[in-house]
Amino acid sequence: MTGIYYDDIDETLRAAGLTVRECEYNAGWQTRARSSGGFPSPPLAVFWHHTASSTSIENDLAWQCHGCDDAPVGNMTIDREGSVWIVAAGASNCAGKGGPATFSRGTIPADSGNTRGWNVECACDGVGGAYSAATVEAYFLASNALNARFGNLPTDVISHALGAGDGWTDRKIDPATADAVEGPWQPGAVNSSGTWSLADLRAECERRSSSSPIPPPNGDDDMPCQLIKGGDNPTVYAWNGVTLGALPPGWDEAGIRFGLISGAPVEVYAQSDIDALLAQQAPR
Amino acid sequence: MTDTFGDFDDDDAADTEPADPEQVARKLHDLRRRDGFEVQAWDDLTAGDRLALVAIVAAVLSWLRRQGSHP
Repeated sequence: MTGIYYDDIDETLRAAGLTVRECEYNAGWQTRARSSGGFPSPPLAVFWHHTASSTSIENDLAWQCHGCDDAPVGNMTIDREGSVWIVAAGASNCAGKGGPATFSRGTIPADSGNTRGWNVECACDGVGGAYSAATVEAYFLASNALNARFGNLPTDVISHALGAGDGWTDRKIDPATADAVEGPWQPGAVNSSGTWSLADLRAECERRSSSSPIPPPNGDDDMPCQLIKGGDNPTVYAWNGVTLGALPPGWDEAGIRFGLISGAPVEVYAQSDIDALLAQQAPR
Repeated sequence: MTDTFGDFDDDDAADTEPADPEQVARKLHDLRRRDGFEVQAWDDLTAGDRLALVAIVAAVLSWLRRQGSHP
């Protein structure tokens, strides 16, 4: 087979903390590709799509991997619970006519997004169906992990839609809608279809990549958890590496003032880091 | 809720890279299986059978390319 097949991309995604799943429909993704085969060179960007579907992930995958005459459609799909399903390790059909677009390592020529980009689908109807906080979290984790694997910058992402003029094609609206995004990150909409702002998307990818994860407590003292807070926000949280719990209003300040928790000083992080932890606490 | 399947259109498959014979062979094999022909799964074929299929498709692609290059 010619070209590059990322047949170990599941390891990259798992290392980023994502759940990678496989079923009878996407099985064999390691050798799946569009008719041109593998990527001619490492992808220059991650393309953000939505599936424009309202069905089960199994039905989506059956169509993406086998049912569509132009299968495989996209390189991977993120489901409504935030799990990742890899569709094709080689180039896929998804971006199609559009571009050109310039990224940190070069320009994707016009009509070459299928072989020069990694295309990520996200299960959503695109007309108001919700993107859960878990799904959005997985989307960013995956995008940044993929770009790091390819040697790109976190901001080397593009929306399938032309959006505000900086996306791929005016034939599409994805990802949409902005109003349907749940969780702390809220993208702006750039058109009446609710296409996410690519500028907002890139800024969030950048922010998350530069944000240092809050470490779990080291367990060296008597406290079963670490006390943390975000910037000027007065709320103090207890963090044990898995669960985040807000201390009752007033108790935190009193506890600190009267030395009740003096043995465990409150660590201060960026509020955005706290927000990211809160997003991870959302039910999956 | 009624199931819907995507907004894929023919232009989404457009690209400038030439075809790879093995992937085309896989695709044709998959289509034949889907349409009911009694053929083995690609993964069940011997290396020789796979190579033969690839060679046939490569020859067809080469022929098509030559036809396309004629004025």
